[in-house]
Amino acid sequence: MLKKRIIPCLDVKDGYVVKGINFLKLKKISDPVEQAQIYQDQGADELCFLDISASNEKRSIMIDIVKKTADRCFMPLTVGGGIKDLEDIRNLLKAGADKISLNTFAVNNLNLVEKAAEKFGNQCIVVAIDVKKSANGNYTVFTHGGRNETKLEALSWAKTVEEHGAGEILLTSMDRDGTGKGFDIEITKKIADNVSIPVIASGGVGKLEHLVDGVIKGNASGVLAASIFHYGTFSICEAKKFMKESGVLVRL
Amino acid sequence: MKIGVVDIGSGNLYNLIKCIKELEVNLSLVNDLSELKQSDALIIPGVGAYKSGIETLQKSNIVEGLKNFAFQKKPILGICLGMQLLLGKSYEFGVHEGLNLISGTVRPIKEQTGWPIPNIGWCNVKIRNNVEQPFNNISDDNSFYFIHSYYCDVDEENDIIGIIDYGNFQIPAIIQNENIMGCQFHPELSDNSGFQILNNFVKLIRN
Repeated sequence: MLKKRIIPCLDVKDGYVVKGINFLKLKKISDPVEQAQIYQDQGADELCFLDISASNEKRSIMIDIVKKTADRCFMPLTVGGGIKDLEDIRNLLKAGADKISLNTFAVNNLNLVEKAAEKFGNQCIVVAIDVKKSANGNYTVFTHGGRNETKLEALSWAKTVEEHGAGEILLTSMDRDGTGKGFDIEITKKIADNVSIPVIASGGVGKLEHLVDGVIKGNASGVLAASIFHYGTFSICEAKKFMKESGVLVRL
Repeated sequence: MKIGVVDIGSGNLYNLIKCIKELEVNLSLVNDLSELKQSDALIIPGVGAYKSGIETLQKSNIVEGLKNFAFQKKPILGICLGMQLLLGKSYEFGVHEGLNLISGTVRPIKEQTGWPIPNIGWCNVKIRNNVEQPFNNISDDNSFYFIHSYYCDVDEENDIIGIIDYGNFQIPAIIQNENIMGCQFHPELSDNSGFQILNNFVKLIRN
């Protein structure tokens, strides 16, 4: 049986882990490699690094962080943020990343998603979709770390990236990010039920119940969270125990 | 004593190499026949597409070398795509011939499982009773990390050492025919359970 995954996420800016609210108000909180090791020891199922550095030079720090993390951790590592071409993907994979998460890149170069999937296997291509609910109830896709609104509707974009070779979708609700109000179950379920690739729910976890809701109500294959694990509100072990007690199959 | 990691041209060998180094065994990257001949055991790692994997082996001119290596009863462990390359043929984006060291065909996981495809994540592998090294001392409550859209449809029931339940479908997770072994999961990403298997594999040539 396939177990539901708990994935701690580290937003990395200029070599530091940061965390914001609604994608803004960033605060430095720790060293990414040390934090990765802590999560490994707590039994994380995967780890996700999102590089939100503003400049290209600062981004090369990420390769080094990935290498150091891969040296210490025996678990799958997804890396995303600021990827521009196939060469960037190759370099990250060589450094020890197992999956690459694409967002702005995918919106701008759908055919490159296909090429990347062909070249590196679709299992290693994750498309990250950042969405916001608009006043009319539709969900719109945003790029550039939430700064640019696109005309894409979330579900149709999810289906498009699936057709073009994405192996997984990382779905983040910008409305919920950092608020602790729980995942946006409506859009999570809608996408998870309408694509055949796995969907990871992200954005808004504040309580352990939210993780359970993400997989049971939202039908997500995994749940991603940052703040509750970073700030030590809950450890990953505690989260997993809670999920198990709530009837979710997890790796303990 | 030396373990050869076969270079299949794509992606991430970093984690596998790191794990083998931790086991304090000599290691070389095999991309030609002379490196292959100097190895006591081989690991065929696995990320990427079937076609490019088999083409890389052909370009390195080691397809026959691999078959001879197998014939000499030296251990070969295929991981994920590496396991699939051990079979006779694959239906991944066309039809491609494999190494045919274990009889069977690589096919897409059926959509009817009702579960997401690719299979990404941790699964418990049910290992059958009385198996030989290196799969003999794996605990029942194991978890291994899988990431694949195709599976090994193995012809001989006897070659299947472990399976996972995927929806209403059973997928071979560990296969073995004497010195030829394969894991559909990634031991190098599977924490303690995975490390145990790599450790056992290294012991095969240490003994």
